[in-house]
Amino acid sequence: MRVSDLSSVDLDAALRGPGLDLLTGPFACRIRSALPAIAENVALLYADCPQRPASGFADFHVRLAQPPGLRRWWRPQVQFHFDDRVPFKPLPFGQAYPMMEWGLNWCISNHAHQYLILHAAVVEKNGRALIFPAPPGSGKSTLCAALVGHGWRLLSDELGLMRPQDGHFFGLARPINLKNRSIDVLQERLPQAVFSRRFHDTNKGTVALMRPPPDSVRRCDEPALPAWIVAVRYETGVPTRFEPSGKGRMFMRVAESCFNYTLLAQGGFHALGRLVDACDCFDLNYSRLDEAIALLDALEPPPVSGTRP
Amino acid sequence: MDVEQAERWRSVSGCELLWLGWDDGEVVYHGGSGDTHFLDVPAARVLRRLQQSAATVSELTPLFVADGEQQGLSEELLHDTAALLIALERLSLIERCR
Repeated sequence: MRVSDLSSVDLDAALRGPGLDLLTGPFACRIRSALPAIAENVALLYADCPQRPASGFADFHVRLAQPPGLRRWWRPQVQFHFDDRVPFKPLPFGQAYPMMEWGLNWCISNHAHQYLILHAAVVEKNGRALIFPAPPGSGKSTLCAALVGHGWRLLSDELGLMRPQDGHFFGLARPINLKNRSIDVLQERLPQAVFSRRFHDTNKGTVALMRPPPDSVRRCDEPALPAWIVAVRYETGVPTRFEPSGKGRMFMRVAESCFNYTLLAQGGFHALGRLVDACDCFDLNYSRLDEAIALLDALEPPPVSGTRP
Repeated sequence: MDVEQAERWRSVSGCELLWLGWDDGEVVYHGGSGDTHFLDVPAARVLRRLQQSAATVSELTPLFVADGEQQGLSEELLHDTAALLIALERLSLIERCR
């Protein structure tokens, strides 16, 4: 069953009651909330996502609710609960839905240590993954969304999950988080795509989320072998520059972008080494999306073999 | 300069160093600190040499010269090698022999 198979009444009842298990890639995320914004946006942005009534094991137990006391009425706020703990300070009530998305990212990046977790956007074509490791504000989500609208499959716009044992990347196919000017750019570029309303004055500026394409959600369990690592940087007005990057330096950049590289210790070092070995590495500075997309579309994948033992 | 000509250097004892290398340099994982460092080609040569046995700055300076370049012990090269040794020492990759 998918989220769109539920009536709004049933979805609301599940979220208000025992919870709704969203099955995003390898994780079951149990969501509970009585807030209308959560139900509305889950219905809108996770329409194609597999779900089940809350039962049995779930990886993450999440609840969004208003804090008790005066803050229910005066400058109302929302709190994110994880296993009935409150790991973050509350946010303004109007940011409840982005808080759910950011909170789920936190759950995965802080707990799913069976994977090497890159802060990266990852897309796939013909079974091969293109990885954009980059800090916030680099333009990776914008480029990721544009590529997804151009035929690439979305694995994630935020969390690259690599299984250390075999180097496969796994998808989440969750909504793409867009910020500020990139919202207008993508809405104009992809008129058929579904976007949330805009959430203003967050600590990332104005944000909106884009629903992942149905095909990306349907194929979420298909792993992809890494082929390219592209360190991307958007700069207004710059000419497109796309050139090979040294693998040693790219290793360090990817390591810095990992959430759990240090925690995985030697295992992380070897896994990252195999990843960099397996990929062609590039730097991409861009201001024109069409030029960037054309360059990435033209990439030939390196052979699958050739990784270190 | 904080490096004496006669002073001998060695790689840190008791810590495993793991290496991976590519054309632009090598990355080395320090088993003691859990830190990973990128070393350019000359720096990697020096550290690998010190893993084999202790050496002085003047013994290490030839490794600092790129392949094909004329070797010599100019003051500038000695200075660069000494600066590299101090940098590697700060990363706890090498230490002075006591």
